[in-house]
Order: sequence, then structure tokens, then C-alpha cells
Amino acid sequence: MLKIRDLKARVVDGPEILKGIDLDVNAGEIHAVMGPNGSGKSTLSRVLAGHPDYEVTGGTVAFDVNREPQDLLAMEPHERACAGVFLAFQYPVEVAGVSNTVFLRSAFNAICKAQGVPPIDAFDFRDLLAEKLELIGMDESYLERPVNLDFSGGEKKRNEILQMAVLAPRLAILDETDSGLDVDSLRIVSEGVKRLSTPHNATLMITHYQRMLQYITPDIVHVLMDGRIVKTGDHTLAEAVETRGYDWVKEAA
Amino acid sequence: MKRPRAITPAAHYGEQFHALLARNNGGEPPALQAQRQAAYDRFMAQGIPTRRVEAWKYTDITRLAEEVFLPIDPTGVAPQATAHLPLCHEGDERLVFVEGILQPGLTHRPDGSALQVSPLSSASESIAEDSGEPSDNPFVALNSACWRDGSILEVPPDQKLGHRVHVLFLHAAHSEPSVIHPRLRLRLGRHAETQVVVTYASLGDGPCLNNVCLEVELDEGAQLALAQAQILNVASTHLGFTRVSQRRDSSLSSMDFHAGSALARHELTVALNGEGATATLNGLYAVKHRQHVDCHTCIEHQQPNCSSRQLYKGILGDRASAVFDGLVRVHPGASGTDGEQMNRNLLLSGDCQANAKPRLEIANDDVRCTHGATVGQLADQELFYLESRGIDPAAARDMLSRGFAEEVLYRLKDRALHGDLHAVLDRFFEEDDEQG
Repeated sequence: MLKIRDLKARVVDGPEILKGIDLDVNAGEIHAVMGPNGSGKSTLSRVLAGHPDYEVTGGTVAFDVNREPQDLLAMEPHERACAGVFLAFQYPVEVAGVSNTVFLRSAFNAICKAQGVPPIDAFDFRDLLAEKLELIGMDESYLERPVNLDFSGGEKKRNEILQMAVLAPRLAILDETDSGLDVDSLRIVSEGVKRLSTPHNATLMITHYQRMLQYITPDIVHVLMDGRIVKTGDHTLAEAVETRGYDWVKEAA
Repeated sequence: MKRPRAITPAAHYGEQFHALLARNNGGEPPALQAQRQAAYDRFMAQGIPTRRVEAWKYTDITRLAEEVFLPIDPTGVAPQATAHLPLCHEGDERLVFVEGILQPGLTHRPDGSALQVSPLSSASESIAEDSGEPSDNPFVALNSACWRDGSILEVPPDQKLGHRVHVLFLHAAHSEPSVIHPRLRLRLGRHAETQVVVTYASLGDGPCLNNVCLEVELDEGAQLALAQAQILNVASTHLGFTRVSQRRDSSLSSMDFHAGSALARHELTVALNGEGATATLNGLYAVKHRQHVDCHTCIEHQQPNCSSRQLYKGILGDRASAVFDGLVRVHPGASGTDGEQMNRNLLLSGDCQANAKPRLEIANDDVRCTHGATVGQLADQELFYLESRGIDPAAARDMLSRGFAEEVLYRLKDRALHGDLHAVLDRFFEEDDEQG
């Protein structure tokens, strides 16, 4: 579903951060990308979502749309979302004056429109939301609140997963969703992510720790260091990193 | 040679004033006639301020010294047109003025309403502008000289009106420039409560000089929610002056909304004259093309333990410009004053301009006052966040701009008005979209 080849990128006019990433993700898989601070994990997630602060300096990213590989890097951020890419932000943005309901329904209908599906009306959408809210353990009062405004860290992260549940992406990229989460929120968010995983979609978890991996067993684990994937393995690699540290990976690589 | 600080108004102002006096033909009490004459003399003596006067530094009205706007008589607005009057809702108590003249046929007074309406011309007391400190704004004096059908709206003590009061000042003329001088005195007795909406709107496309003077008096413990919605056509000029005087423990919640006029200026002065009085001033202006809006607020903290909250927000597009000048003045002895003032401006183009001037004058130690102002564009991080969810860039900008406005509008307890003002904003944004 996703084929990344020799991807190089930097902050606009800054030094190169990604120095040649190769990564294949297939439908039904859960991948974890681990790495120390500054290794380029978050850059990878933002580049895939089309963040304007970054520029791609080399390589290709192909994303399957209707089983046909498309050039993801040529798409605008909203086109990527409509094609089924979702980024759960490390630091979700506060949007004053826009309620969660209005925001979510606009996003949902934008994606419907792009995919040639009729828009959903307010009543049906409410039912859909109620179902997803339960999945993430949030109550309805939150729907009328402005997006992320005055939310706690845990609420913001849960809100990202709620958006993911509603928008049902084919490729979900979770950028350090486990950082800054209390234990209860971590469990709820992890279980939500696990339940949203199907044979038809894929999840790319970007993480510094392996906290979330206690709840979700990834199929494939990659270790990213200094802008390159230096090691790939199964879930035991994550445990090895946790106990032996990143220096061990560096030596082994 | 230095430019003068004021320009003498052209002769047509005098002709208009004398025509008005002749028309009244001595029908008004001599004291009122004398007041009108004194006000007219003051207007002539003050002249039209130029930009050399600090209060008019960013707003140039010198063209008004020459331009001719004539008072005209209302030509029938059919009662069935009421259904299409802006911001109207079933159940409102409605007073409709067309070209400044009260229209009984369009007015709706519910049975048994506690609101008392009487003509200002029958008032035994002098008009407030003369009883208080005269304004240095000459157009207030002109209003005092020239108002027609001025009205007093009074809610008796301990009465809470179960419905809202909507006063509409409509300008229906096409093509010819006309002037109206709306004049209202709003008075709430002890512990009275009510909600009042004042709308200034055009039914025609002719230019209008809408020169408003609104006096508000809140007795002890009275509570007023006051909204003024200025949605005149873009050929018009709006000059508004609102003076509020509050006694002990009274509370004012004001919404000052501007989306119309080529040039709009509103001076809102609130005197907190009694201990424990509170004033919340919310404002929203949305201007584009070459529109200009100027909001001056002044809060006089005269007594201890009063609080004031101000949030004025502005959305500017194209080559529009805006001024916010807010003064919070804490007088000696007004200890325990709690004042907050904030002005935020959102610039949607590179050619618009916002001037923010929040000011504090504090003659006391034991007070808490904050103020601030921002002028900026939509945040890239917020735009990307919305786009990353599938919302296209134009829709994302729209949503964030409306969200910016909603931060003020959500404070309206009146949900019907909230919806109405959003509908006005919808038109503001839609026209933008059409222009691409």
C-alpha cells in the first residue's frame, strides 16, 4: 500500500534530516518506527502528511489508491487525507471557535466528496459520532467544545484517535501518540487503535518509547537513526531496544 | 501651513437645520427649541475634525463638511415587508423607524408588555447630552439639533421583559443621499431586566448618513443585554455614539457588530457610577473592499469594585481598514477595579490595515487591569491541521475565519441573534469565495 524509496527531506532551507528511507507497508500490517530523539521520526510522519515546513530533496513515495500506486509527494495535504492518509499529531493544534462536531463533519464530508460518496446529514453523523465516542471513552459534552482548546494532554491525544476512528483512514500514522499520556489514557488510546486495525488498513506508529507496544504488538519494527532505517525486525526488536538501548542497535548495525 | 484641526461645515447644514425648525413650526416646547439651537451652534463651533485631532487620526470624515445628505420622508414600506426585515423574530417587541420616523404600521407591541415607550420631545428633562459633559464629537451635537421622532424606552423597576425588544432604524431610499439622526434613550429601573437589539440596515441602495445617538441609563441592579447590529449598505456612512451610565450593581452586556457602511465610527462610553457595576463589551467587525470601521470605547471606572471586560475582534479583507481605540480610565478612589481589554484583528489580505490602541489610565493602586492587542493572519499550523483532515485550503481558511468570529459571538446568550449574525458573516465570506 505504501512504498517509500530513498526518501530524503529537510526542514525548508535547513540541514537534511531524512537521508534515504526505504519502507514498505502492506494492508493489514502494523509497523512501529522507533528511534532516539533527533533521528527523524517525526520528520518522516510530517513529510508523509505533506507538512509545509518540510521539503523533500529526493526519493519517491507511492501510495495505492484503488489498487493503483500514486505519487503521494505530488498531492496536497488535503488530497492525501482524502486518499486515506491520516496523521495523528504529536502536538494536536488548538482551533478556537470551531466545534469538534463541525470540524469532524466538514472533514468527513470533504473525504466523502473526494471519494464520490454522498455527504452525511447531521443526524446520521451524530449517531456515527456516538458510536466512535464510546470506543475512545469520551462523553458527548466534548463535541460542542472548540477543537482541542483547553483540552488536557490526554484529551488531545484521544481526540486524535477519535478523528481517526471517524475518518477511517487506510494508512494511519501515529506520531508519538504515547508520549505525554497518563496510564489510563494510554490504555484507552491503545485499545482504540487496536480495534481500528483491520485487514484493509495499515498503521505506522512512530514512537520513542515502547509504552504503546505493550498493548499493541506490531508486525514489523524499524529502528530509525540519523535519518536512515538501520534495523528491521519483528516485535522482539522493540523489546531488545527497550532493554539494551539504542546504542546497542548502532553497534549491531 | 499647518492643516486646521477642524473644518467649518458647509451652508447646507444650516439650511437643513432651519428647515427642520420651520417644519416643527413652534410645535415643540421652547426649552427644546432652545436646546436644538444651542446644539446646532455647538456643532458649527466645533466644526468637522480633521486627522490632526488625535481621536480622528485614522478616520477621515472631512468630506462630510461638504457632502450633502438630505433628510427625507419615508415612502411606504409595506407591512408585509416586515417578514423580510433583517434580524426579526416572532415574539419580539418591535419598533421600526424608516428614515428616522416611527412607523406604527410596522411596529409590534405585544399585549401587556411592561415596556413604556414615549416620545423624547415630551420629556420634561433636558436631553442628556446637555445634562452631562458634552461630547467633543460634533455629530453628537448635530444629532441633538436635528433628531426627529426621538424615543424613550423604559422598563419599570423590578420588571423583567419576557421577550426581547428590537428597534430597527431602516433606510429605504434609493440613489439620493439622505441623512437620519436616530435618537433613543433606554432606561432600566431598579432591578429591571431586558434584552434590546438595535439594527441599522438599508432596504435601498442609496447612500445614507446614519448619525445615531443612544443614551442608556441603568438604575441599581438593572441588567441589560444590548446588541447593536450595523449592516447598512456599503455606500453609507455610520456615525454612532452610545453613552451608558450605570448605577450600583447594575450590569451591561453589549455586542457591537459592524459589517456594513463604507465608513463606520462608533463611540461607546460606559460610566460605572455605582459600586459593583459590571460591563461586558463584546465587539465584532468584518470589513472588506475599501470599508473602514472605527470603534472607540471608553470605560470610566468611577467607583470601587466595578469590573469591565472587553473583547473586540475584527476580520479585514481586501483593502479594508479598522481602528480600535479603547480607553479604560480608573478614577481616584475606584479601588478593587477589575478591567480587561483585548482587541484582536485577523487580516485576510496583505493590503488591509488594522490600528489598535488599547489605553489604560489608572489613578489608583489597588486595581487589576490588563489590556492587549493583536494583528495577524491565520496560523499556518491551524491551516495544516485542518487540511491534514481532508479540508481544502479555501474551506480551511473559511472555517478558521468563522471560528475567529465565533470566539466573540458565542458569548451571545440570544441564540437567534447568534444565528443571524453568523448569517451576515456567511454573506461576507461567500462574496469573497465568488471573487475567488
